[in-house]
Amino acid sequence: MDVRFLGLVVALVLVGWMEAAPAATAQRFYPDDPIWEDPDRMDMPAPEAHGVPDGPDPIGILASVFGQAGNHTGPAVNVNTVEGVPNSSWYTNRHYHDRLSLDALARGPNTRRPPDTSAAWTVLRVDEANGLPHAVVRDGADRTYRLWVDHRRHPELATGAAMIGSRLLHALGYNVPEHWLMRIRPNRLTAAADTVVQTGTVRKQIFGEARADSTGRFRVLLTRLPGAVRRIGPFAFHGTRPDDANDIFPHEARRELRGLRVAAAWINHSKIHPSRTMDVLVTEDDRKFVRHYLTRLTTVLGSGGARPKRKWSGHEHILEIRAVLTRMGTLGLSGGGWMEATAPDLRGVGHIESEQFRPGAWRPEAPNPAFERCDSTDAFWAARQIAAFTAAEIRAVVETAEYSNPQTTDYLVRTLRERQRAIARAYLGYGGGIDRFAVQGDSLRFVDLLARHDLAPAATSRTVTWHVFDNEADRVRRRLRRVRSPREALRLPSASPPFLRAVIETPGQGTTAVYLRRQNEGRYAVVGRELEPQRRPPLIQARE
Amino acid sequence: MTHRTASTCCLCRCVPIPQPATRILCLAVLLVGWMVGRPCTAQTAGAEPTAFLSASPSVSASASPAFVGRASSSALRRGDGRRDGPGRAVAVDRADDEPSRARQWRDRRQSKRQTMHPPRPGWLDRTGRFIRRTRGAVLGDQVLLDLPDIDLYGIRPVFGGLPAGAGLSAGLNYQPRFLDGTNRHAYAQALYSLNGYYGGDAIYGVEGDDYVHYAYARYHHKPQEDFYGTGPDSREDAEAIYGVDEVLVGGLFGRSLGDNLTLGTHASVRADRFVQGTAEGGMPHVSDRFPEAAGVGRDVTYVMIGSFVEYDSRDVPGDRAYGQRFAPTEDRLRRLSLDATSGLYLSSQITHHLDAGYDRFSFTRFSIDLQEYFSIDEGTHHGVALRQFASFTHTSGDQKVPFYRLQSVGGSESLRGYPTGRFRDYNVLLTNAEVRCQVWHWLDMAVFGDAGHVFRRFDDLGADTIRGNVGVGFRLRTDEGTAARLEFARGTEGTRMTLELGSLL
Repeated sequence: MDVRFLGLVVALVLVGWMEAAPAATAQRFYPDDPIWEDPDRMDMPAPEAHGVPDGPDPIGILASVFGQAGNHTGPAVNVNTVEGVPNSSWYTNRHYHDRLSLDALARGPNTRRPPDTSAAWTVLRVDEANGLPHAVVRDGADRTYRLWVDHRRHPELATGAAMIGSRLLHALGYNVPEHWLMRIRPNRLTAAADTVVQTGTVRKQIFGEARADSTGRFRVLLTRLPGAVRRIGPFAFHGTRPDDANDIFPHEARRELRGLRVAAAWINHSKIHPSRTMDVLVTEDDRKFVRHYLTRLTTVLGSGGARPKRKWSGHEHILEIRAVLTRMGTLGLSGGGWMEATAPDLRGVGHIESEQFRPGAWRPEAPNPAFERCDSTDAFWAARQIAAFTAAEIRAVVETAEYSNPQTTDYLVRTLRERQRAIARAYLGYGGGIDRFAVQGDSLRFVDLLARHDLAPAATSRTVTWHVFDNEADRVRRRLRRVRSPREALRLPSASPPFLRAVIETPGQGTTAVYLRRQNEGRYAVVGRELEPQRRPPLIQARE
Repeated sequence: MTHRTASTCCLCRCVPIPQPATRILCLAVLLVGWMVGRPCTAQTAGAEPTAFLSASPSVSASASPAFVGRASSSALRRGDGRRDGPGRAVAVDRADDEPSRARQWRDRRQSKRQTMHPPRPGWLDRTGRFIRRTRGAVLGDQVLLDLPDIDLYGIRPVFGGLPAGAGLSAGLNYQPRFLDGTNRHAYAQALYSLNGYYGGDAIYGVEGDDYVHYAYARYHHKPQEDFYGTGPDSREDAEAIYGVDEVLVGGLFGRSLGDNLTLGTHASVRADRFVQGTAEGGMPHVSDRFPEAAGVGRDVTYVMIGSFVEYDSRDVPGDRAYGQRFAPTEDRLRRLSLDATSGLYLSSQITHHLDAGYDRFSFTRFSIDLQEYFSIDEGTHHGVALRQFASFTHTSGDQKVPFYRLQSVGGSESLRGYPTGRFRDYNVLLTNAEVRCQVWHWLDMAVFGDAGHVFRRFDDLGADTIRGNVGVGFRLRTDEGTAARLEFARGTEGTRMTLELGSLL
């Protein structure tokens, strides 16, 4: 055979192979997996600004009774191959991954200078939300803040809740505004020169329903969105923003928004709603993009704004027909165990307790499409972060609220700890309750979260099955070995294929599959992870 | 002569292809190559299938070659660098043609950039937004709306506000901005009802920390008022129609003594003009059925002077200092507060009506109203509301009270199982009791019972002349108070349904 012809045949075979090879479609792990930076901060045209009124949408509420907003029904999509959420314009991995100091936790989102007090603050606008007056003010350094004051009947309630909520959500990875707690005299505020409203009127509008301390000063909360070029309105919990090219994952399919259900349950953010979010246009390194914030945290914990939260809040959606009919039939004597819930009458507490708290049954006032799609993997992702807070860390955060009554601080620390523990019990066991996988030397190490949080014995014996994994075909190949181990370190098989797969079965809890990739230097690194690989994650108790 | 045809590869057009017969062989080789390159199925390979990991099918689908190899720039800035963990960024640049997760995501964004458009909310969304942006203020028996994006120089639609017999009423309310302020209240409104009632009123008031004073004026045209005769034994089938035009102008001054106590005085001029009324369906006029009743066919002008005292410790949202409810523009017989859940309310007032024209219809009326509210469970709005009301009218010599100015019970404010003004006489005793609960966050429910008695002399008081009813009610709540209520009550004359707007103080 002609040599040229033989060469041609070989070339054609190669071309045919390359043409039909499944690498582009079946390859499970890419060279950059697991990614920890979502490239969603690309320079894009600025979206249009739009607003959404405060409060529930009556049509949306009715629609939620008969259906569900958003089209996505599967697992979360903006995750990396180890079931983590890459850093993005929505979310930044913080406390769980790189432990924050107590100072950093207490500082929270406040990374810039505090409000400037060298000159009077100009009041640009006065508004009201949940019965709570708030104003837009400009400080001496020409920075704009939102100023909130507690109602005189419930001092420290809303401002304290916002301080705590902002620190916890920030440590959990969410974008929240800066929150500063200050004490000022009314004469710090002056009406803007270009308004017809007089300074005295402005001060009365803001402080008219507030209570001064013995020195005549008022406790105020100032919030600020750092680096905001322009506010472009709240984000929805479903769909994507059609005029933001960086926004490609349906919001109901974003893990951090689904997992927010668990975080919201922890801090009782039952009034969460698009009106408590804000998309902000920011500029970094000459790139314009949208950053997504959780705002107006004055209604977390036991605060309903100007007054304590209603008892039902956090236990029922705003309309649940069966519960309404039950209460009608029994003249209100039946219809929810939450009726028995009580909270102590302590300044700044409002209505938050842990006795009636059931993480799976907790729900926001307005149905939330992302929350309703929160599956066990999403819940595990959030619960492991919540469970990681120690008592000292929670106390450091609660103390930023500067409650005048130490009993309030003690009660909130205790309540948050108990709610945290309820969340851990409910969600941490999924997939066996193991996390923080890493290859060290010749071992695959992990952390038994259940044991670490005293929810299971420390020496649980697990069955581990090692396989060769074919990344190009996304197939499990030859079984290498099967062992039982009570340790949190598993010896790697002696074989060294490009990819390994270890299935770790924890009796009575579940299964997690871990994927390792051989690096250039011959060592392995964790490249993938899968909770309960044999079954789809069931939805947690989004609706009862 | 044979001619060797030179052709090129259909893939890259660079490799010379041999004879056509050989080309068939090449295609076969290609086919074999493609077959070899196909992924094994679980059935054929017997391999253990794995569930899809990580990104969604939509992400996976986007891994098509069309998305690969467009971008370049700093890797970490773009986010396509791999890290050992989220906090340990050791990013590396990758070749532009190397497939990567970050590149897939970035290319999807570039693709969206080409097709993105401003939000286009559907009509359902627009309707929802309009409703949410519509603000309402709940007044005594009115609901005032602020329509979004519509500035009519302070003019707003208002619902309710005419007397109970008017039926559904609506109108326009104007609050002049130049008179409005922190301590000032001013409005004027015009109202019309489906039953042909109409009217208007205006108020300007100033209030301080411990005082309130204001001036008021009102006109009401009431063409279809019912009269059944006087006393507790008046018959339902004796119903007759009358009409009256009322004009009222006056002023009020009140002073607060402490947080809960208010006292004050008021003076007014009131003109009542009797009209025949609009009788429908063969209904007789009062002038035909009760020609002997005092005030029939007579116009009366009163000078009214009165004083009041009030103790109010209820947890009612609202401004007690305003004191508007003591003005003669308001009904003497107030309704039970639908919003209070605890506290006590006690008011007493006395008003002398001096007939400025004929001096035949002068009288003095004294009333006392005691309301108690007990909270069973504050969180669920379980509670009990009780009210006792008494009104006594005194006349001197041969003075009489016009029948349309007699104190009455019946209707949504008193005996809810009877029509408005069903029983009238000089004196009235009334008691109401309600057990309330919250059945929905915006809906309260109540089971209630009412009992009332009208009488001319105290000798007429007796258990057999007491009229009563029981019923159930539903109240639509807002953060500002009760916006509307729907009640069903059954008395001795049947079942009545009431639908009313407004939060009642």
